[in-house]
Amino acid sequence: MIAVDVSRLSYRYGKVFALRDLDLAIPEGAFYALLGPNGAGKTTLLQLLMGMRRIQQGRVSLLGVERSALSIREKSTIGYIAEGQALPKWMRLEELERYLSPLYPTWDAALANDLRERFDLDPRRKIRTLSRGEYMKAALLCALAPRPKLLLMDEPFTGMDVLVKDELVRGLLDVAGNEGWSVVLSSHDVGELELLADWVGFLDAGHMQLSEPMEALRKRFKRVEVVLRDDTNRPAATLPTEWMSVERAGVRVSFIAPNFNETFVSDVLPAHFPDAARIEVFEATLRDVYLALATRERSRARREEAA
Amino acid sequence: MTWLAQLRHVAAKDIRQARVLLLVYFGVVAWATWGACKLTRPDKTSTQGAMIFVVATGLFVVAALVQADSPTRSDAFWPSRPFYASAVFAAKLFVMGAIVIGLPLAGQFIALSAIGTTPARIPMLLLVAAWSYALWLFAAMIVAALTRDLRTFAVVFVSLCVLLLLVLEEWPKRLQFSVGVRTQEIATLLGAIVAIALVLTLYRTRDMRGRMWVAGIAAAAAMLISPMLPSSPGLVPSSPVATTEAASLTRWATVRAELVEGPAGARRPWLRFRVRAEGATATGRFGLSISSATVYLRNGSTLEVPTEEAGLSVALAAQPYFRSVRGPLVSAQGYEVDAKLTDLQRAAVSAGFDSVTVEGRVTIWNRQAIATMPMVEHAALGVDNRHLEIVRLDRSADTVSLTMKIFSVDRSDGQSIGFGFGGPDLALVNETRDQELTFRSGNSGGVSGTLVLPGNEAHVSTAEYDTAPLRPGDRPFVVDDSWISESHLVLSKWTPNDSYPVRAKVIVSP
Repeated sequence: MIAVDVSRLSYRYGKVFALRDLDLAIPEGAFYALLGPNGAGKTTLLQLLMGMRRIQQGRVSLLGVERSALSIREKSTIGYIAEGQALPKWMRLEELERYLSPLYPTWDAALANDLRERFDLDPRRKIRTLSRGEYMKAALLCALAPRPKLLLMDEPFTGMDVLVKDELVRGLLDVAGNEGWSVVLSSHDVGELELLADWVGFLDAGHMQLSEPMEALRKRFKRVEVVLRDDTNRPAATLPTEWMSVERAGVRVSFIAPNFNETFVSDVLPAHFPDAARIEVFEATLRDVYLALATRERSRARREEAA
Repeated sequence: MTWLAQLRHVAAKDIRQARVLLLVYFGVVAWATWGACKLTRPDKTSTQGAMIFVVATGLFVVAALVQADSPTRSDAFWPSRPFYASAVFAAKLFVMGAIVIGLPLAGQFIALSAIGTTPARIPMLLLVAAWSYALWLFAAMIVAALTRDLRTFAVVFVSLCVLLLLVLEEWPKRLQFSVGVRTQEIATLLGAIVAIALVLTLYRTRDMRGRMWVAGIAAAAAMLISPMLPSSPGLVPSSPVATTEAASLTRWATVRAELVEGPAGARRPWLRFRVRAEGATATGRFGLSISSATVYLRNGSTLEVPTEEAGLSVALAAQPYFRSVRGPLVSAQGYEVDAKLTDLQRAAVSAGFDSVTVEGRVTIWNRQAIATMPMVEHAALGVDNRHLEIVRLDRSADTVSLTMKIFSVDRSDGQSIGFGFGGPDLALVNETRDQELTFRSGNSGGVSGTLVLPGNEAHVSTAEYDTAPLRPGDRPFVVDDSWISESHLVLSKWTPNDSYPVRAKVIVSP
């Protein structure tokens, strides 16, 4: 079953497209990392999924139901956390829990207590007095306690220190991972996502550049390092344009190969580097792929702008 | 959770969230109520104008309620939770109705009761006040829904009010614009429906396109502007009209017309007449309006000249209550009317004429006793939507005088202080002896003031009356304490009940 199904979704702010003809399918039970630079449209996409913005064009289905046709019971199975989301700051945490719990038939008070203790949150403290990290922990608690089938998280770790981030990630993994929930997590902080995600999508300038399982991504993207015998040979500019993050320092050339396969080592690399002293192929990290895609998109946007 | 349960849940949250603001609001309402209760006996601690603070605080409370669960902010908390959008909106309307309107409405009720408003009129007055206030609150609700925070709300709302005041100051004058009372009411009702539908749509769709902004500002402007539009005076309820039955009782007025300016040779390009209706009695008086004059020229032709404007001549009779003591006409008040001539007409008239007639219409006004009250201090009476109280009563050798407090509460655009023009006549009547004294009105003055809510305005005035000084033969009876104790005060009104056309020959002075 598809947890999130988006078809030809477009959204404009005035004349500027935040999303354009976006298609996306996230399978149920996936931990989906939505990557993209600032302004890529991640927040807009998640807000559209949550119904916090009106869909201007396209179609969105969540858990197999058209978004506009979701019943209140179905909505209660979807959780949402966002970096900039305004929790009712005048409430104490316990008041917030009391306010939310009747809305969710599946609200798990024991899980809420457990998370509160694990996150070391004082239920009597007002939301406005919480630090940024505590605020996000409270938001996570409120999103997890109803045991949602689908959890949408928009930049939940922005500006947090490592310790808090680690606590949140572990809390999230413990609960969501064990119960097979679908999670969509947008971030440009790719370090944590590498460990969490089993699916990854890269959004840039309103377009989905890629969306695939992490395993397939790891197979497809490789970091290649070539040591040349002579640094006058084969300038980087003549290399295939689909190679990304091409860097050259003296006799060393490195790049990210986006469509790596068996023939790449046997045929493609020798054809471009016939006098290579050494060729090494490494696993590309998610960070490598993210940077490579982001840099390529930025360059393409600059070229289009200049044209 | 059911829809209704969510409504209660959100409303309870809203009340908890706005409790400090609501407490302040309660204080302002209590202060305004206390001030309104003292309206009829103003002193240094009077709080006239407190209504403005009630309205301003109320607008602020409504804006805070709406923005607590903003229908348009993309970072709002509620849309990411399983709420019925309509239940969230209904909760805002509920708190607005039950507390923001309900609280000052209770204050208004206390004030209206305290200042002696006739109980039967209170429900309608409260309805008018609640509706006037609700229009402001609907406008605030729209602006709050479209803005991000209370500061932006305040700036947009105040700017909108200032802009509308400027438009209202100039626009109707330039366009000679006015609307009928019914049109105004329908427009206001439609505006309110549009306002509610618009905010509900915002809650349901979270559509923040430019067109929603335009529609929102237009609806808010309509809410604020419609009660302030100038309404056509022609649509104010008219006086009773003439009936066929009354026509059978018609008495005929003698119309006296006199040419005061404009005989042959005069330089002025008009004919000016003094006209008046004569023959009024104690129970009937005449009104006269002249619409044209006809000049019979020496060459045998006639010249019909319309008058500039229709005036009114009221033949004043003495004011005896009883037909049996119907007195002679003591004064007849005429008025001057001009018939403007063209150059050719002036030349023709200057060449000489045989006679002139004026044409117009006479209206017969009959007298009706509308109320009686004891002639003692602190006697009170409700009449004509006004509360009357005799606050002072004096009797000297030849006159009786009284001071009356007149109090009324009505719609803001309702009526003038005291009785104004066309108020009732007062007479002191001793039915046992079949005798009466008529009163003349003297000094009067008063104040108008708002109560707790807009829409109702209270008028308090004092008016002095006395009987005409004694003249020989005027009063063939003695007015002493025993005479006064047997008598009572009668209020009577004149109502038009027939009219007929008249033509009168003009007296031309040699």
